[in-house]
Amino acid sequence: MTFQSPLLLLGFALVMALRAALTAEGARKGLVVVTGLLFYASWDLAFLPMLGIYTLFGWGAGLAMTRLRPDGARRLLLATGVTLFLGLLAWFKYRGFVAGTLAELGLPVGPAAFPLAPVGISFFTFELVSYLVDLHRRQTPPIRRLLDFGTFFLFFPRMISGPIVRPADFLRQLEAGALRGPPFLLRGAELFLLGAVFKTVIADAQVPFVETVFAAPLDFDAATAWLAVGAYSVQIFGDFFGYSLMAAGLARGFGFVLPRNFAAPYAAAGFSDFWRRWHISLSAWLRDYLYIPLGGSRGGERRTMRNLMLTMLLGGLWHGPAWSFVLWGGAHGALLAAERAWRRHVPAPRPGGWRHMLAIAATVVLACLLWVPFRAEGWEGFLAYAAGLAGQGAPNHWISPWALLGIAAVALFHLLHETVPGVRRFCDAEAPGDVRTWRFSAVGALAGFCLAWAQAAPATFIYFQF
Amino acid sequence: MLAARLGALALGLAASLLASDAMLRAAWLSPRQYRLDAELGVDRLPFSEVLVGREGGARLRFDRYGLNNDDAAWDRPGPRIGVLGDSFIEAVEVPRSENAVTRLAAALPGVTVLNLGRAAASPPQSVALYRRIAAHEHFDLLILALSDNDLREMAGIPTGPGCTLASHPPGARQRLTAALVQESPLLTRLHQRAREWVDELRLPGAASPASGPDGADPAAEGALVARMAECVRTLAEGQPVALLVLPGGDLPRSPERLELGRHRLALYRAVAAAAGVPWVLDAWSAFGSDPLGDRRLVNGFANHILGAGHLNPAGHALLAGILAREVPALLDMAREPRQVAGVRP
Repeated sequence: MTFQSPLLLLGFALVMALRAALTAEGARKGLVVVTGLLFYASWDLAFLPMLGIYTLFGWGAGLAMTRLRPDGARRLLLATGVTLFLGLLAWFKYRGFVAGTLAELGLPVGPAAFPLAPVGISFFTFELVSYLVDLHRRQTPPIRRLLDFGTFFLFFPRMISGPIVRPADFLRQLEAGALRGPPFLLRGAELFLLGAVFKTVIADAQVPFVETVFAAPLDFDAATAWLAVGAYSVQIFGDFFGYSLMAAGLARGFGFVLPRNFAAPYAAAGFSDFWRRWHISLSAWLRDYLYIPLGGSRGGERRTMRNLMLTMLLGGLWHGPAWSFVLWGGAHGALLAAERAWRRHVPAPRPGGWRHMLAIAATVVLACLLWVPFRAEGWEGFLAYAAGLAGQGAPNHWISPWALLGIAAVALFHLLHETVPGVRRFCDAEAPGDVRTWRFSAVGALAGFCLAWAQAAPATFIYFQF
Repeated sequence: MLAARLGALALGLAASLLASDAMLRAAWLSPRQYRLDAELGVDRLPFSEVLVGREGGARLRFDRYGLNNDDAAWDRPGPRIGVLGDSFIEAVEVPRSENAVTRLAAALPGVTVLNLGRAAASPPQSVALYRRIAAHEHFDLLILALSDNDLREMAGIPTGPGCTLASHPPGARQRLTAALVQESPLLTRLHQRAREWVDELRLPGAASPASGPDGADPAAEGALVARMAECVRTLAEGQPVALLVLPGGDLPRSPERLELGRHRLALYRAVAAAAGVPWVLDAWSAFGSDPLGDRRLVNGFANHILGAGHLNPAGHALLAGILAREVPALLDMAREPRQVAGVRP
C-alpha cells in the first residue's frame, strides 16, 4: 500500500483518531506496533513472521550486549549479530546475483536462490546493524522494553524505504514524550502534501517518457535520449524526495521527527557536496559504519582513496544485485576520490562565483549521466542507452513537454531552495512548524494542486525495490 | 480562531482548484463536448468546438452531426464515401487536414469522403450512429473500420436482430454526474480520479475486463462473429460496405501482439464472409514492426507516449496511402452494383 493510496489515507485518519482516543502512552505504542504490522502485511504478508523474528532478535541482541561485561564477548556478539543480519540480507538479495555471476564464469553455483526478498530488508538491516554497533561503542543506551523496540522497529512511515533512522535518535524522541504530546498535524500535512506534489505530480509525470525511452533507447534520436536522462533525474529526485517528505509528514502525525534526507542535491558543487545532499541518511550511515571503520581519511591519501572507492562500491551494491549498480557506485567513488585529489591543489570555489557555478553545472551533468547505468536494464540496456546518447538510434524525435516542465520545476525548486531561506525551512523535514493562519492556506493550496494534477495511475516508489 | 483557519484552508484549496481549472481549459480539454444518449451512451454535441489535449491536441469544430468534418462537406454534390469507426477514425488527436479521412478525400478529387468515426464507438454503436445520419443523408460506399479492440467491446454489448441496441435512458445520478463533469475539465478529471479511488478501495477478486477473443473459446468466437456479421449486413442493406481492419492502440510490435492480431484479422475475414461482403482492406498487416521502413513511429504523441496510442500524422498518412490505393476501385465497383455479389439484396 503506497503512501498516496486512498486506503492508506483512510487508515491513517482512523489511526490518528485512535491516537487521540488512547491517552495512555503504552496504548499509543501498541497502536504504532499494530499499524506497522498491518502496513507491512499490506506489502508482504509472507514475511510478516520474519519481521517478528527480526524484532525479537534485534531487541534480544541489544539486551545481551548491555549485560556482557568483557569487551571480547561484546565484540563476539556484535560480530555474530552483524554477520547474521548482513548474511540474511546477502542470502535474500544477493545470492541470485552471485550465482548468476558464477554461472557466467562457468563455476558451480549450488542450489537455486530464494526467489523473493522481504520488502525493505536493505533499510531495516542497516538500522539494526547501526543499533548493535552503537551499543557496542556505548554511544546509545539499550532499548530495554520490547514494546519500545517494536515502536522503533515497526514504525511504519520509515519501514519500507527509509529514511534510515538511528535507533538512538528515535529513542531520544520516544523518551522525550513524542507519543505523549499532541501530534504535529499541520506541519505533517505540509510535509506530506509537498511530498505528494513532488511524487505524484512531478515524478510520476515522467514515468511514461522515461520507461518508453529506457525500454528501447535505440528507437529514439540522441536529443530524446538526453532529454530522458534529464527526465529520469527529475523522476528519481521527485520520487525519493517526495517519498521522504511524505514519510516525515506521516511520522509527525504520531509526534516523531524523521531525519532530513535531501537538501537540493542538484545544487551541489562537487560530489562530496552531492552526497551531503542526496539520500543523507544513507550517506551518513555509510560514512559512520563503513568509511570510518575502514580507516576513513586516516592513513594517507592512497588508503583514503581506497576507502572511498570501497564505500561507494558497496553503497552502489546496496541498491540492488546488479553490476550496473556497482558501476554507478564505483563511478561515484572514483569521482569523490578525484575531487579529493583535485582539492589538494585547487581551493574550493567561493559560493556564488563563476567557478562555483561551473562546479554546480559539472556536478549536475555528471550526476545525471550516472543515473543511466542506475536506471538502464542491465549491461545490455546500459550499452544500448550509451549508443542512443551517441546518436545511434532511430530518427524518432520526442521532446516530452512533461520532461521539460519537470526539469524547469526542479531547477526552480533548487534555485529557490538555495536562495530563499523560507523555502529551505519549509522543505526541511526536521524543521519545526508554527501554527500561523497562512500555513493553512498553503496546505489547502497543496491539496488542491495534488487533486488536480496528480497522475492518473501513480507509480510505486522507486526506492521500494531497494 | 478555528473558523479563520478553516477559512484559510478553504481559500487555499479553492484558489488552487480554480487556477488548475483555468489551466486545463486553456491547454488540455474543452468542456461541454458530449450529451447523454439512451442508445449510444454519449453523443457529441453538434458544432461543438473542442480541444482534446490528452494526445497530440488539435482544436476542432465538429459538424452538424457532432462528427469530425468541415460542415460544408455535407452540402457538396457528387459521390460520397462514409468512413465509420471509433477514435482511430475520428482522430481528434491530429489537425483535421492531417487525418486519414481528409487525406483520402484529397486523393479522390470529385468524391466527398466523410468521417463518421466516433470515439469509443463499438460496431453496434457505429451502426446506430449511421442509422441516424442515414435518415438524412445517402452514401455510395461505406467503409467500416474495425480494430482489434472492437471484438472485445462487442463481446460485452448485447444486440438484438438487425444489430439493434437496447435503450438505456440515463438515470438521475448519471444526469447529475454528466451535468457536473460537463461544466469543467477539472471536474471531469476529479470524477475520473474518484472512480479510480473507488476501484482501488474495492476488495481484490473483482472481475477484470475480458481481454477479448484469443482463440481459447471457439464456440463463443463463432457466436461473436455471427453477431458482428449481422451488424455488417445491416449496414450493407443501404449501400455497399467494405471492412477496413486496423491495428489496436499498441501496434503489433511484440510477437504476442502479432499472433493475437493475426487471429483477430482471421476473425474479421470470417465476419466479412458471413455477411457476404467481399471487400476486406487489410491495413493491419501494413502496421507491422517497421511500417515506414525507416524505424519512424506511426502512433503516439510527444505529450503522451510516442509509439503507443492513437495514430499520429505519420500513421494517418500511411493509412490514407493504403486507402487511396484500394478505394477508387471499390468505389467504381460500388457504383456498378451488378459486379458486387452479395452486397445488395
